[in-house]
Amino acid sequence: MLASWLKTVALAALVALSPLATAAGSAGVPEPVIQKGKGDQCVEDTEYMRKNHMKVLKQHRDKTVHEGIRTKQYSLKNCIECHATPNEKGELSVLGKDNFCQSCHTYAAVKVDCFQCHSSKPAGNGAMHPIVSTRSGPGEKTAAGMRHHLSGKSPSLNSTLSVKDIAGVIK
Amino acid sequence: MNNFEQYRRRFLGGALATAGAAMVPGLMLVEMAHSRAPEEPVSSRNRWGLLIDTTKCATGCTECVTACNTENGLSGKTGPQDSQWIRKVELTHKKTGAQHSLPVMCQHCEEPPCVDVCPTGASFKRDDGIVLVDRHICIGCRYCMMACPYKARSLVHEDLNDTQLAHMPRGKGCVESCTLCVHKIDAGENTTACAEACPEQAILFGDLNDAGSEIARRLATYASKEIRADLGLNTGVRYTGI
Repeated sequence: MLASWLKTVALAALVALSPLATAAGSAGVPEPVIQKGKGDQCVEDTEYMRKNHMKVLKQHRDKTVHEGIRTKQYSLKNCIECHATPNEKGELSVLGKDNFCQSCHTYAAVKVDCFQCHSSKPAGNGAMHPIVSTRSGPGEKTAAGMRHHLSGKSPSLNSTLSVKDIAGVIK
Repeated sequence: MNNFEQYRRRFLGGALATAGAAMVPGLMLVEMAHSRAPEEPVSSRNRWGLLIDTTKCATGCTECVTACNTENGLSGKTGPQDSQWIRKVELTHKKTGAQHSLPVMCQHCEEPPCVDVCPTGASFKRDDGIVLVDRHICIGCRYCMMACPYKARSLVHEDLNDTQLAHMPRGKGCVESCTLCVHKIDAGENTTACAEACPEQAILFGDLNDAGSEIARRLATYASKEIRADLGLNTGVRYTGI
């Protein structure tokens, strides 16, 4: 009799406390800031890139180093060209607390090794990616890129994605 | 305008036109040899190399070394733990006292000893003859540095702290050496930083397999040497005047 009473109390306590536990969990880890890259779309669907960017990069790296194939689509250099945003020091980079690579990798607790050797900064003037954003002419793209470079920020960079958008990452 | 002047002008005009026509096939050859599409892998149709004229190379001049450092983001320091992709070597003949100065870099051997000894496969020769290190695979054991007869390779000892250039990834714990400016070759620029920088044009870059190229023509015409030819490595970097 006593045992069943205890069981009921324990169950009630558990039910009462469970919302608290959930709330504490969601407040613990800050969600990654995903800054939007340049252009209208990535070289593949966003969902695909979230899951497979590392595979795509690894395949391309071997082709580049050993076979001299330097196509732009899956090149790390071109990832950086589009996804670099101003960091804490004001430099265009994919590394930094809220910057593209580091923000997400910190959240996922996955070490990113690329930048021990590769530069995290874009090579040129940060001009628009040549593969995506085919809607405007090449001249326009470069001019827009230059403006972005000179001002150090662009309107599209300030927009962050909602929690729903990054569902693929949380899963 | 007298008759002679008219004749002279006609003659010169004709000569120029002939020269222009003669140039066209040469230009076409160069065009065909280097028109690799970005998605096309390198092939053994090409073998890139250098021909260095030591009679032009000036003692004390380090323009090629500086250009290499700038192109590839090297510090330019010459300590035992610093990366040096080109070293200037001064030679003096013991009996005659004749002096020579020459740059020595990775000789891009056809039979590279560094590739033979590499335990991981990081040290490799590309199909177009360029000897490279795949830094993704390199474990920094430095066997290749021991094996190289030319002291061409360096190990990166210290963290570079994101100072690398975008086109030339480098990192602590990996061995590296002259890449023959592979990024320029892949971009179709068909030159190296050292060859461009030499004030005496003592360094000539080109395709050893292309009989029409300047480098192949000169190698066929003049006597040239490999350093340590006795090792039978068939180097891609050749020297004249030593």
